[in-house]
Amino acid sequence: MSRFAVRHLLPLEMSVALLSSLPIGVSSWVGHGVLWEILHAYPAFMGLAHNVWWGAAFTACGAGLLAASLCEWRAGRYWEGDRLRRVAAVRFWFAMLLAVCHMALAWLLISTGRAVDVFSIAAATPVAVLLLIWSAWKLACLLIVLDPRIESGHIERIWSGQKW
Amino acid sequence: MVRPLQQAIAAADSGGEIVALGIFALKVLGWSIGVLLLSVVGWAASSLHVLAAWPGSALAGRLEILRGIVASVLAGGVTALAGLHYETPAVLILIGVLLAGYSGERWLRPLAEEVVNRVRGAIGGNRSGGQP
Repeated sequence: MSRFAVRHLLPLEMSVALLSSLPIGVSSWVGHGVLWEILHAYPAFMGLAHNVWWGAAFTACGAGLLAASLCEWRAGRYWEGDRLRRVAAVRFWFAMLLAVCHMALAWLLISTGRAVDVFSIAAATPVAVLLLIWSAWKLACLLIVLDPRIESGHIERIWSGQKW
Repeated sequence: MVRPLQQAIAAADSGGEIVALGIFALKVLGWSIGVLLLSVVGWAASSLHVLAAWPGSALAGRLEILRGIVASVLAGGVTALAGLHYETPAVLILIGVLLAGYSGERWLRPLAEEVVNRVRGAIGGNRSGGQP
């Protein structure tokens, strides 16, 4: 039961990574657009401009989530136990980190008064954050179910009552 | 007493300083809420087993949870202050706070408790005749 419980979230995670996180990462890193200009205006940190750090954070986390989800989508249908728990933990952490990255970018745009200039990002952020947090929440439940030290009958009872 | 204060506020307002102060206060508030939330989320990620077996009315369990949260918030706060001091990109600071919250419960609290226990043991040992 547990291995199917969060498989339906894989397309969602891949979509958020492909349609939101990776485009933001690329446009802030090499895009030379409005977002690139906003981030490039900050002083360099450790010899690298801010837009490189932001772009690297978005691209790395987005690519990580996409790779982990794609890997489980293609090969993980019958995974069990430790293997499933490892990939669920990776998906959980990348989803959490991406949610943080999206919220940080929205906060930066709002606090600098430039949110209207890149309105598509400001508008897409709440949706991306909600979907990523939902995914992280379900994956946290799965990690609890897969942990043999934890009594998780209440979660499994809820899941067994749902139709997939 | 009130009039000089009103004059000072009016003088500050004419120079736009109150607006700047308000924006600064909003930023500090936003950062504080962000650091607190991410530290607690980091703690929760390291404490899934604690959350899954929520002790309810058990006082010892609640105290354990409170100590873990305090350790995570402290670690997150130190990370945020260090990041702001070195003008680190906000995204790196917030990722750092999340990971510090995780580390606070997972590694720092057991380490701090081990140190405290050893110090307590050493002091207690000296009092009882120098036994280790």
